[in-house]
Amino acid sequence: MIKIMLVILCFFNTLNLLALEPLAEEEMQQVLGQGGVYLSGDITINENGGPLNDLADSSNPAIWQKNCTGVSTHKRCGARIAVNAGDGANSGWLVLDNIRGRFSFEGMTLKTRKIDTGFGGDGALFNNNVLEIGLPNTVSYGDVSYTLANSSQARPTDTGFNQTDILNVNLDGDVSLRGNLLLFPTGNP
Amino acid sequence: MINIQRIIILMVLPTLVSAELIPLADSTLKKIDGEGVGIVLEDFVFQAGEQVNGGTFELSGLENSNGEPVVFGISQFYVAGSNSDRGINVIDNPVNLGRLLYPYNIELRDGNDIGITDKAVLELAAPAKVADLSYFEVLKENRIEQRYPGQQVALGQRVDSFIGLNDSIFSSRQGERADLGIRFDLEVNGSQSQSLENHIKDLAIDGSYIRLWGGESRVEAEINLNLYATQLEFRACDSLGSNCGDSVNFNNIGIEAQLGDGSFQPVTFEVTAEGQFSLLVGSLEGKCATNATGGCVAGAAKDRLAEYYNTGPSSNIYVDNVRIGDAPINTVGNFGRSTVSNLQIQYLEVTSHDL
Repeated sequence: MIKIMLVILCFFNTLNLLALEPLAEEEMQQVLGQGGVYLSGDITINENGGPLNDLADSSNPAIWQKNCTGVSTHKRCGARIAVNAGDGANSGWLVLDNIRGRFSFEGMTLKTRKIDTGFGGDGALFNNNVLEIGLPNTVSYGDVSYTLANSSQARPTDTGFNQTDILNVNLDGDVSLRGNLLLFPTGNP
Repeated sequence: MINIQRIIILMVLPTLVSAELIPLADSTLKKIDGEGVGIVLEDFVFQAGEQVNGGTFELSGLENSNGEPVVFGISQFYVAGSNSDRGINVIDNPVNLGRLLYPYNIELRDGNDIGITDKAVLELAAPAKVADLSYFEVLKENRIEQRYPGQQVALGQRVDSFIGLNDSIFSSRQGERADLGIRFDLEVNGSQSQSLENHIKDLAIDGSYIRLWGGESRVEAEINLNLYATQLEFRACDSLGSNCGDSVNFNNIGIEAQLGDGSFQPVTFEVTAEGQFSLLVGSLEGKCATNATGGCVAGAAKDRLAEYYNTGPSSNIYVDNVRIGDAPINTVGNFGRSTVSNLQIQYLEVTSHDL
């Protein structure tokens, strides 16, 4: 008897023929997120050159066999981003080369915020939610360097490789970055 | 037995459910218009540099004519609110960049709406102007002269004179125009030789945008660059950063540069196969079939070119006053006002070469 009742109960549950209903704007507006997220970050890239910096394997191309420790003065150590804005075969590459160093920050925040006042009168007219990224006040750079260059090939190992370095940037120390970055959809999404 | 019955019933049950996906009405879909992401920087301050934060901030890789390495040591690089007093008042002087109603905007646009046929266009835009007008008000007059001796009188209008500035076009309000600047030392062969400063006061870039799309075999662009500032200043000091000379001031500057006209005249930036960069504003050559005397044959192609010449991209530059130090008007050291009106770049190619 209990088993029959159970089966019947199963049946009852499924008799409610419900479809997925769209949420009305008003109901959506009631959905509140959490208070936000506090982020700190620390990333070090290519401190000793990178995975291809293998001194032991002499079959590696010379350009990727450099000692890239802190005392090294070799120019080519680190990550490389090559972008081709042309048709590939017949054009060259804009390159960010030798990217290495440490970036760290403390206290970046991430939250949503309703703005309906302030901003010189814009707030009341705007009257909407934004995603607020609180900038971390200070970003620390540890021996960050990169090179802006033009290159004939994507990689230094490609045949006919030829590169013109435009300038090198070297940054070691703090950078002040304060304020809030507000993101929101524009138009009428 | 009861278990088998139960299983059969449970298996059959799903087929009895008549739930369905509800189609979205046209009115709902219409609201999704694929507009972009607005960006506003609230109470923003940026400051970096060796003198203000310690550490090292250098640009290197340059050489002087003797082959000695030249290093730019950046003492200060800042973005702050107005009245920063050449970068002295930075950290406690934030600025709002972009307004909630006129934000910086990143958007994918339908190229058919903006003269780039059948392409999806990525648009990076600064705050829009309140009205799509030029900052410069000019008086125009009808041409009454021949363009060449013995030829017909030229038609149309030309700029006669500059009559004023239209401040009402800006969406950025007075407190929302940033000061930015850079102070750097030139180190030649390891020894510090000179200190240079550039400061820009009350910068607004309202109405600027860059549009990018995939052309036939490369990235193509259309660039609209508007720069407005109350002052652009250059100054040189000795190697200690003191004993500064007179500054050279460009006061009340406006630059409105339009480069490219959709896919009709795209701007391309690429690196050549030899590893040199190349910036190109497309040529108009061959845009229409020509007759025996070299003119365009009447038709749609000619009409398009006429439209380009009449209302196509053009650049205007205005500097109210260029002077050294505080030299008053009509004295030595005051170079007066300069304007460039309706400059139309019909072909431009810039290529780098190794020295």
